[in-house]
Amino acid sequence: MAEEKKLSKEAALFEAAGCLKCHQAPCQENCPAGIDIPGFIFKIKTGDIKGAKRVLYDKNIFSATCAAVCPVEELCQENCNKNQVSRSVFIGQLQGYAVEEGGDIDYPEEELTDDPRKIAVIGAGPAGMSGAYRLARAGHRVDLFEAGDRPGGTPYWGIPEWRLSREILEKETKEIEKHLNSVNFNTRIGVDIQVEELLKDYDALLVCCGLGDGASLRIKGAELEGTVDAVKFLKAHNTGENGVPSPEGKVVLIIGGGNTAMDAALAAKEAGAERSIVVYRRSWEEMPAWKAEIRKAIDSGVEFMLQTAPVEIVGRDKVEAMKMVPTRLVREKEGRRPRPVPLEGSEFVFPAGLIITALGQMENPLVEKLQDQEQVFFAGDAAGGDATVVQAVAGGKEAAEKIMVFFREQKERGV
Amino acid sequence: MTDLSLEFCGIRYPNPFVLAAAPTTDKEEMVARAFEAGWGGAVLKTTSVETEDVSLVYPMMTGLDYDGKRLAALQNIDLISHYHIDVVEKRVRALKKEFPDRVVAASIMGQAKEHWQELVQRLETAGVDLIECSFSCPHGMPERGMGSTIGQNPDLVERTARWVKEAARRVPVVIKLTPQIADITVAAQAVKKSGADGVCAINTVKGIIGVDIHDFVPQPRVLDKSTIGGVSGLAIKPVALRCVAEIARDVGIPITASGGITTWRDAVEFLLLGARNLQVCTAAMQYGFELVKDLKEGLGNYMEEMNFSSVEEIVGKALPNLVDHNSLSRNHKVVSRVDEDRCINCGRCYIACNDGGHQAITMSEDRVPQIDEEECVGCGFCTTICPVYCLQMERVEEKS
Ligand SMILES: Cc1cc2nc3c(=O)[nH]c(=O)nc-3n(C[C@H](O)[C@H](O)[C@H](O)COP(=O)(O)OP(=O)(O)OC[C@H]3O[C@@H](n4cnc5c(N)ncnc54)[C@H](O)[C@@H]3O)c2cc1C
Ligand SMILES: Cc1cc2nc3c(=O)[nH]c(=O)nc-3n(C[C@H](O)[C@H](O)[C@H](O)COP(=O)(O)O)c2cc1C
Ligand code: SF4
Repeated sequence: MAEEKKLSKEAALFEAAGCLKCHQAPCQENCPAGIDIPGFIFKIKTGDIKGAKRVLYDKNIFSATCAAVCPVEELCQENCNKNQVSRSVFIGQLQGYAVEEGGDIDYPEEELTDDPRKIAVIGAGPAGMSGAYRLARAGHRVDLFEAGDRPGGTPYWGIPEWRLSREILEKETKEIEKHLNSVNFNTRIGVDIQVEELLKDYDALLVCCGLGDGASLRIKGAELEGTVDAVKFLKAHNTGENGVPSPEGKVVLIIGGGNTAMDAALAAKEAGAERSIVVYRRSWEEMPAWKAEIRKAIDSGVEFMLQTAPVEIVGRDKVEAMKMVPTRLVREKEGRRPRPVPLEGSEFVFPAGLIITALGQMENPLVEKLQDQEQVFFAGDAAGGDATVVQAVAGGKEAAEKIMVFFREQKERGV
Repeated sequence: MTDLSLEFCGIRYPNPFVLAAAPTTDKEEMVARAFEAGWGGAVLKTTSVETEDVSLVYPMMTGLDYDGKRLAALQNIDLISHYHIDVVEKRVRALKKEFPDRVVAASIMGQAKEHWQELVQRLETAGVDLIECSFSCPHGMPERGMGSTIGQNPDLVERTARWVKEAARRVPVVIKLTPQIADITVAAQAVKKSGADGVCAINTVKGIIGVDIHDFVPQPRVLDKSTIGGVSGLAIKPVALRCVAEIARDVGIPITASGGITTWRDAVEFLLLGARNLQVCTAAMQYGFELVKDLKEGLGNYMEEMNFSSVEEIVGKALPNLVDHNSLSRNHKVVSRVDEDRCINCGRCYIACNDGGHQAITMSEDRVPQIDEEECVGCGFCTTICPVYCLQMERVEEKS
């Protein structure tokens, strides 16, 4: 997507001219960050690209990252009124154009508060960075703690490079870091610093630790060497870490139908897999991955075995094949996803060299530990929700606002 | 195919579409190609006598962009052709020989009486079908007592037109008027008095198309300066339509229309308001000579649909419906109505009514405009904004 998205100046003007500048624009209403979409597009149309970029950053401090990774077809563009007569305005591409061509914009001046209270933010993903930035901009003292060795969170280790250039991400996280009191990498809360300590030292906690490990496959043979969780696999693939088996020259089966499965299938292909096959229990229609992701996977030669469920991983001491069974779909309730029912007796065995499980991520254990505390706030994937970068950015900011309200109320109560 | 022929100043044009005097008609080869494409006639770019110095500047044109599109209007600071009468004579001969059924007109401009008369006589001898006199170029020429300097002074119009008409033995004489005059019917009346055969309305509208906002030079910029020029194209169509209608209604002289004609619809509108010949310049430059195919087919289809058997029947048909403001009905009420099936929920009408109308539109939960017929005075602005034309003015109960 990233490389396909670049618009020339002419194309951008042409595209921007198509925007109707709707009243209470529905595109904007479906933007988690609430960007003034008709506003920034109008500025492109009038040739004020810097102004357009300002409109974007005014609402979304990760505008360049989001221009690259937002599932626009599921968000703003899905709602564009022009869908009713032709097609939506290509809002995502225009955003990409504005952030790229808008030059350097100055970030707004910092406001100052005389409130001396301190906030600890856990997790340097989009939610944590955005929340920390909002608080710091208000003049609060913010210390950021991150388990990894750099900022960016899942976009850094999870989102493939072809979609998001790390340079773009780094530029945006660097800008934010400048405003914080301290940024502490390689610091896992609950291990390197105890939760109780933070609760004692800080007036509020903003918890943006994202999700936990990938859910594991509970079938026979799942423990065999040659089975790997998609999250671990992608992390290794995107950051160059060792420790996961290489897909090179192998038939790779990816179990699952979400975006992580698509990304893992693409990554396996990129790393030299002979075949990269997604195995999914239901059909295209129920597949939770975004349309654009599925298209990209198909275009890149990823194969699909639909209505197929894993039964057993076969091998002596490492993966040699997987036993699978076709399913039929039974709709039990209107509006619910149909249930896949195995077609007993039609099991088959398919040779494979690597099996990647992409069955969703579990909750981060930190969330449980910090439940039900007045001064603890959650945002991003840790707060549940939509699992998009833009949602995390917006959520982080909203949580920051809540913390400030919480401080104000405390002050009023004389705490 | 429908017969599109129409008589103008005693000449039967195979169709009323004529290339106006402009760069499109400044080469023999171009006019030949245009005739092949199907234009009924061409007015060769304005020429003058050999002693007239034509010193052109470049660039000479800049367009006006609107809403992301190009060329809503065009400004030029071109002058008359730098080919003089001797070259034009040759062109007339060659074109008439190759296209005897098309109307070849020549446009002329002069200062002294002898110049005007010499130009007419020589071109007539060369075989031209019609003479058009430019009293109307708004830039360059007026500084030297020509162009719109003449057109803005009814006495000069009458005197100069008479010189030309006297000199012409056979061919009709048409005077091209400028809209830069308080009352264009006064100039048209002067043409009528002179005995000339018709008018061309209008030449370009004097204007400045823009300014470079970074180095403060207006456009079109010639090195580091600019000058006031002539605006043409779609944006001047309302001015041209008004001029044509006023002349048709108040003067009654054959009119060849010029100014913004771009589509067959524009063409029909000019005919309805009294033009009997249609000149196209900017649109032909913009879309090419092939445009005429679309103009002719569009006009033909329209006539079929409306049951017109000749173009003549269209001419002036809308004039009776153009009255004084005082005579318009005050005894009825109209309100805006929404076709909800076609509405795409953009809410532009809401903004338009709220900030440019009478606050009669609200938006429902599901974004459909709701019109309060009590508050709606019927101004009609909302209908001009809707991108899918789903608002219309409808008549409601009679007012006492
Ligand atoms: C493979 C993949 C592809 C994706 N592609 C897209 C996409 O194209 N577009 C899109 O919009 N979304 C995408 N997403 C989703 C998106 O990345 C997340 O929704 C988003 O990153 C959530 O942001 P966050 O800040 O809540 O959490 P994260 O980005 O996950 O950040 C959490 C941070 O907290 C740190 N942390 C965790 N525990 C601790 C602890 N105990 N102490 C200290 N630090 C801790 C982690 O190291 C991490 O840096 C994708 C997700 C995946 C897995
Ligand atoms: C570049 C250019 C040069 C023109 N030169 C002449 C000219 O020499 N003589 C003339 O009578 N009109 C000239 N005109 C005016 C056109 O003939 C025509 O009347 C005017 O452009 C309005 O028509 P339009 O809107 O179809 O372009 C010129 C117009 C343009 C754009
Ligand atoms: S909905 Fe579409 S047309 Fe309307 S403002 Fe948004 S992008 Fe523009």
